[in-house]
This record gives sequence, structure tokens and C-alpha cells, in this order.
Amino acid sequence: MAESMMSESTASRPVTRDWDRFKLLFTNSRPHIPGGKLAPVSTRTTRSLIGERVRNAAAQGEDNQLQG
Amino acid sequence: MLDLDENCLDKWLESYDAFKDDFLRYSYFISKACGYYPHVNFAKLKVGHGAWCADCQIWENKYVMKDSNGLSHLKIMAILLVSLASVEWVQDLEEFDPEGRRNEGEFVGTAEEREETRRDINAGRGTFFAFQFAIAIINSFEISRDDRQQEFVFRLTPDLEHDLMVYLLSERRDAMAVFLIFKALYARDTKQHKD
Repeated sequence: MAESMMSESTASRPVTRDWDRFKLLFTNSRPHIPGGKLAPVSTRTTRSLIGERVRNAAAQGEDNQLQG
Repeated sequence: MLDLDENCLDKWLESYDAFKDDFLRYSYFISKACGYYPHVNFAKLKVGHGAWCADCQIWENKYVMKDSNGLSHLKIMAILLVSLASVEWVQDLEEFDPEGRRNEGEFVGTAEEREETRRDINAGRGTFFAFQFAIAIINSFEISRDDRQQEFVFRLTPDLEHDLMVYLLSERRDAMAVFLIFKALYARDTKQHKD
């Protein structure tokens, strides 16, 4: 299949490769922070944040089961 | 505990003392809450800060499009994490007030989470504190920004954290890889501008 597609190609003009498009990272500049003030830096460790998220998801699941 | 604005990254890059004060305040808090006290090698911490500043400069000149308004918080934190993982800035670790007479930095979470964090601190030392700091700062930026469509959800898992720590503690650690991991972990769609 691929071979037949190759042989059917009617391309007659080579395409110059764009070497610049993937040369640099996107600007990905600073985020827009309204008022410039950051949210308080959490003093919870990652384990604690993950634990809280998991417990909330489990509680949400139980709520949904009760409502369903 | 840390009262920051959007210029904090530039402030830390410009001044070792400003960075040291905020970074150590955070690290001591986390550590004491888990019952540990880290002895800091300030000379090595300064070396780590210097490497961070130099690498940020290289990235800005080499990897980022010229119309950028500065390296993103993800890039800066990825470079910091790798810079601090590359120096043993925590010299020793000791039990903090084992008799429980001082109540500083109370741990928020379950007893099991505290115990697991203690084990992480003991194994990861300075790299673990740097990881916690980088995540806390990135989260603060992500919670505060208003240019994303979806609400911020912290999606790190214990499994990913473990693998990241293994990678950071290895000699193969690389800031570009850590940046891409952060980028994936915090990916959200950009809000469309209304004209």
C-alpha cells in the first residue's frame, strides 16, 4: 500500500524543510496573575495534598452513589 | 507563610539572600512539621543558586523565542530543582525536638501522610525540600492565574512523585526533562481572548 502510494506520487518540486519551527520552545511566558498577587503558598506537603484530593474524590463518589 | 507576588522569581534570581530567606523558611517549616531539622551547608546552597541563575540565563538566550517576556515559572522552577538536586546543600538531618516541647510548623494531614513524608525527607534530603518548594510555588502561580480555561487541579500522584525523586537523585537529571514533566503535569487549555 505504502509503496504504491509512493509510486503514484506526482510531486515534482522538493519542499524546503522548515528548520526554525521546532528550534525554540514556545514563548510560554509568565502567567497572567490578576493584581499581581499570588495565592498563599501552601505549607501542605505533596503527600498531604494528594491525600486530600483522593479523600475528596472518594467522598464525592459516595455522595453520587447515594444520590443515584 | 510566604507572602509572594508575581515578581518573586525575578527577585530570587537577582538576590541570593532573598531566595535563601524564602526557600529556607519554607524548608524549615516543612521539615519541623515532620519532626526533622536540616543542617544547611550555606556555601553549597549558594553554589546551587549561582548555577540556577546561570542556567536561566542560558535558557533565555538559547531556547526561548525572542518575544518572550521571561522564562515561565515552570521553566524557572525546573531549572532550580535540578540545580539544587545537584548539590548536597543539606549536610545533616536530625530529629527536631524529640521531646515535643516546641510546636513549630504543625503538619497538616494524616499521621500516615506525615510518616511517609518523614521517610521521603530522610531519603531525599535537600532534593526533597527543593521538590516540595518547586511544587508549592508552581501551585501558587497556577491557582492565581486567570488565563486558563479549566480550573486548576493538582494531578501529581505518589507514584509519579516517587519516579521523579528517583530521577532527580540520579546523575541523569536534566532540567529540560523536568520542565517537560512539569509542563505535562500542569497542562491546561489557554483561554480564548474575546475581541
